Amino acid sequence: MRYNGHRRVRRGFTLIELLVGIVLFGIIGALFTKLLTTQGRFFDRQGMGNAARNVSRASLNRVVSDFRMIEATGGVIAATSTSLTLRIPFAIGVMCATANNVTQISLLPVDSTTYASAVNAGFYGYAWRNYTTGAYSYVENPATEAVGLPAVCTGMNVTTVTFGKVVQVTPVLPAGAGLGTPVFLYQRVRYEFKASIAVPGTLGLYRTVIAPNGAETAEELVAPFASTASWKFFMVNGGAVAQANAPANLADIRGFELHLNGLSEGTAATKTTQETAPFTTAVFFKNRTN
Amino acid sequence: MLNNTERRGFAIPFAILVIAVLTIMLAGGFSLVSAERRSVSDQKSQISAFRIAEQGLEVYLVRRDSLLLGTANYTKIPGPKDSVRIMVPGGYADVSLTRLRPPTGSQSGLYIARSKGTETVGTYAGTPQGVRTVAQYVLWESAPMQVLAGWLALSGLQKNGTAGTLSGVDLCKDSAAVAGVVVPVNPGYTGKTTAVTGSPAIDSVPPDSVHIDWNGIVNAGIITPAIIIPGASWPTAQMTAAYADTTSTYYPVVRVNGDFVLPSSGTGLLIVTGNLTINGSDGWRGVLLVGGDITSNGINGISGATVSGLNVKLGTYVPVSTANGTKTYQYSSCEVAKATMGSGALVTLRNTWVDNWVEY
Repeated sequence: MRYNGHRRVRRGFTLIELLVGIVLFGIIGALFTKLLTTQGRFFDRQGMGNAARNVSRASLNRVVSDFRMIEATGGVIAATSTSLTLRIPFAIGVMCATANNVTQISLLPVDSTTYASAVNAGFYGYAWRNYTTGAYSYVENPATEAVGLPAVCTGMNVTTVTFGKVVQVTPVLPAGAGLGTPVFLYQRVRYEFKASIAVPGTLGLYRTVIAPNGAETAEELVAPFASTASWKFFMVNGGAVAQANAPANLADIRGFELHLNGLSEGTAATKTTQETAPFTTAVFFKNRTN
Repeated sequence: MLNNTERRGFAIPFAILVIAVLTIMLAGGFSLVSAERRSVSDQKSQISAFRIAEQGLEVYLVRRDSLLLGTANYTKIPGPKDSVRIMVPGGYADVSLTRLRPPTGSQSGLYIARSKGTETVGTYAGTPQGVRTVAQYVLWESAPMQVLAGWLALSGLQKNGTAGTLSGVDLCKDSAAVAGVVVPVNPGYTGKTTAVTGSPAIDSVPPDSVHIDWNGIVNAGIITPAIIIPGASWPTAQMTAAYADTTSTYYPVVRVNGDFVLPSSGTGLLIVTGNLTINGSDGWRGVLLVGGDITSNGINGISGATVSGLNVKLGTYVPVSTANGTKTYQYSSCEVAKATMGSGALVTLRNTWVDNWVEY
C-alpha cells in the first residue's frame, strides 16, 4: 500500500467484522438477558418470601404477650384448631379494701392506651386469687370497673407503684379475699384465622373483643396466612408434643403451638402460587399452679 | 500506529454497562439480605430480652442477699424498695423489688419484683436494643416453724404452784389453738395442771417427731444470728425498748453458746445451746429455742413459742424444765412470725406473672 504522506482515516467496519460483532453481541446479550431474568425472578421470589415471613413475625409479639398472661384453669373458654376464645388479663393488681359495695384495687403499671381501649372495648370481668390454693375465681357478667380511690389503698398501707392506678370493681370480692389478694382485670377475646378482608382469598388473623352484651369488635391483626395456619394444644402432663385437637377439659391446656404460616401478598414471576413461610413456635401460660 | 482518539468499538461502554447492572443486582441482593437480617435480628432481640428479664428475676430471687449485701438499701427483710443490675450472658437485667404491703399480723409482706431485660450483644447495627419487662408478686415468708405448744418441753416440765399460765391459745387470734404444753411421755408433765390451757391442754410427742433441725441450727449454722454471745454484748436498751413497744420491728436472732441467764426483757429469736434461766419480771416476745432446760421464776411472761430440751434430739440428757412463780407462757402466731421473719426468704406467689408492664 502506498503511503502518500497522509494517514488514511479508517471508517466503519468491514462486513466480516460487523457479522462477527453481531453474532458475539447476540450471544452475550442472550446470556446477559437470561442472567437478568433469572436473577430478577430470584429476587422477586426472595422478596415475596421475605414478605411472607414478615406476616408470620408481625403477629407474634401481640399474640405471645396476650397468651403468656392467660391463667391456665379458666383462661380458655372455647378452642378449636383455628379459633380460641380466651380470658386475657390486661391489668393485674392487689385488693386494698371493700367498702360501700365496691372493692378498691391497686393496679400495676400498664399502657394507658391499652388499658383505655380494653375498658372501652369490653371490660368483661375480674378474677381474684385464693391465697391458700392459688386458684383464681372469675367474676363476670355483670362486673364493672371504674376509677378508684387511691386514699383507700394508702389507708390500708398498700403502696401503689409509680404509674400504677387504683380502680374499683363490682361486685365486691368475697369475704375470704383479704388485703393484698391478687386480682386481674380481663377481656374476653377471640383469636381466629378466617377469611381475610385485607387480602381476599387468603386467611387473616383476627382479634375480636367480646363485650359483656355480646357486641364484638373485630380487628384483623395481620394477613395473609396460608390455609395451614392453626394452633395446637399443650396439655398438663401431656409431654412435649402438642395435640391437634382441644381437650374436653379446657382447664388442662397449658400452652399453644402456633403455626403462623405466612403468605406473600403477590405471586412471584412465573409462579402461580404465593410464597409460603412456614413458622412454628410455642407459648406457654405463665399464670398456672401446675 | 492508530490514534487512540479515533478508535471505535463497544468494549468499554459494554463493560461499564455490565458493571452497572451487576452493581445494581448486588445492591438489590444486599438490600434483600439486610431487610431479612434486620427482621430476624429484631425477633431474636425480643426473645433474648425476654430470656434475660426472666433470668434476672430468677437470679435475684435466689441470690438477693449476696447481690445486695453492702449496698445502701440492703436490709435482710426487704424494705420499701431495693434494686440491682444483674449481668447475664447477652445483656443485663435491672431488677427492682417494691414493697406493696408490709407484714401485718401473721400475714407476710407483699412485694412486686420487676425485671427489665436488655440485650446488649448481637443486635443489628442501627436497630435499638431489645428490651423486655416482666414482673411477679413475691412474699417475704418467714422460716416455717412447727409450733406444737405454748411450751414444748422435750425433757419434760415441772410446774410448781397454781399461779401463772401455760397457754396454747393464739394471743393474736390469727391461728387455731395449739396445746398448752407438749412433753414426751417420759419424762412427762408434773405438777399443777390447772395453769395449763390449750387444745388439748397437755399433749405428748416423741422427740423425734419434732421437726426442728436442732443439729442444723447448733452445728451447721442454718440460722444466721445477728448477735452471738459470748463475743457480743447483750443489747439491753434496745431489747427493753422493743419489748415495751408492741409495734417494734426489732426482732434480732440471738445465739448464746452455753448456759445463760436472761439479762433483760427482749424480743426476737433467742437460741441458747445450754440452760436458760429467766428471773424477776423479765419477759420475752418471740421464740425461745433452748437446748438445755429452762428455769423460770418471777412474773410477766413469754408470748410467742417456747421450746426447751432440744439437746435431747442430739442424744444428750437434759434435766426437766421448771416453771415457778406466776410467769405466763402463751402461744402467739404473730410473735412467732415476727421472730422468724429475719430467717425467711422471698417466695414467688404462684400464677401472678405480669408480661405487660409498661415502659416509659
